[in-house]
Amino acid sequence: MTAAGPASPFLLASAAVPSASSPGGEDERETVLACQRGQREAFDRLVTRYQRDVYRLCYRYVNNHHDANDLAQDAFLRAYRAIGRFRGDSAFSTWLYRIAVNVCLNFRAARKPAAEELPESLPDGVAPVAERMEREEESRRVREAVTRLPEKQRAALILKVYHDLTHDEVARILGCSVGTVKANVFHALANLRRLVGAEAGA
Amino acid sequence: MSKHLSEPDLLDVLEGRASGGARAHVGDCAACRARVEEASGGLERARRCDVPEPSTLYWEAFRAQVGRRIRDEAARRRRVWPAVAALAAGIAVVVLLPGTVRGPRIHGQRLPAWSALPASEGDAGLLVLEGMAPTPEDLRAVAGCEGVADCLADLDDEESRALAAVLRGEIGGRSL
Repeated sequence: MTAAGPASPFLLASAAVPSASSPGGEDERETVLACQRGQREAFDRLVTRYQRDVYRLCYRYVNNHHDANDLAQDAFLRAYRAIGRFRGDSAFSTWLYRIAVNVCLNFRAARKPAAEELPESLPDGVAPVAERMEREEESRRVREAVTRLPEKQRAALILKVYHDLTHDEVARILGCSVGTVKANVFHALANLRRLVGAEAGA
Repeated sequence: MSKHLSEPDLLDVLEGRASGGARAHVGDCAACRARVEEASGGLERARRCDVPEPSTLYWEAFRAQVGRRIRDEAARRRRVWPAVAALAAGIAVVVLLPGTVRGPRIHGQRLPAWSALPASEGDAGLLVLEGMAPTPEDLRAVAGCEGVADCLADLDDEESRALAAVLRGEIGGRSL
């Protein structure tokens, strides 16, 4: 599912996993068909293949292991219930990601977010992030900042940057146009820069 | 200076996919260049951030938990099916009654059994309905749900279609 053309500047080492960035292939189609025939072991194979990606997607939304674990399980359970309706119009991973994103959005809608969500844009002029910063501390702050992005920006950023999907795939998952995805990713990156910079300077 | 680039165009510049015209604009326009640089800074930070990786044992436990939840749900659905069958029978009776039981007459006009008007005490169909309808206690004991609405809400698409098929079979082609 990696886009053709120049190498994506978004690709992370940790995102280069086969489940998120390669087409399903014949084996996967057979596995999905076996699931649709009721073979539960086939679904276990899909869980094995995608559990890490789905978990990581959920983690990006909620920024803690406990909720990410629950949400990832919920996503697979919903996928199992609905597998009969999967027609193969998109890659299985795209379909599964859509379910996972919906599970995360419903979760966040159902409970007050721990951190106040940002407005759609932030003012310029905040202090730049310090040059030297302990890596894990910065990771923690970036993860926290991601959870504070507006809903659409967060979803587009997570799918594009951390799962290296194409704009078209993200658009299909989120049910919006490619232009909207690009705009949301761009705003998310700018807001992330401002927010992390602001926290570093605080 | 020409009009500033849109966000999708600016992202294309950041990704290295922009047209020559867009790249040239960013080269000439300080405002657009600043926006691209800002987003580039956000991307750089985003790329340095990773999710803590659970242990290998965690994934085994995760798979097991998903499998257990699927088995639990399958077992629960098996318990729901008797209630669904009873519900189907009840609905079928409601639909079939207008053709088999004479309904009450108000002002000389025969009313269908499904009329929203208050039921007549003399409506023989009421006795049948009361006998057929599952009570909340029945549903709780058989299906673990609190009422017909709960049972219906628990049905997934496949079960809803199966229920519709059962109803069609019992009603024998009568229009709902």
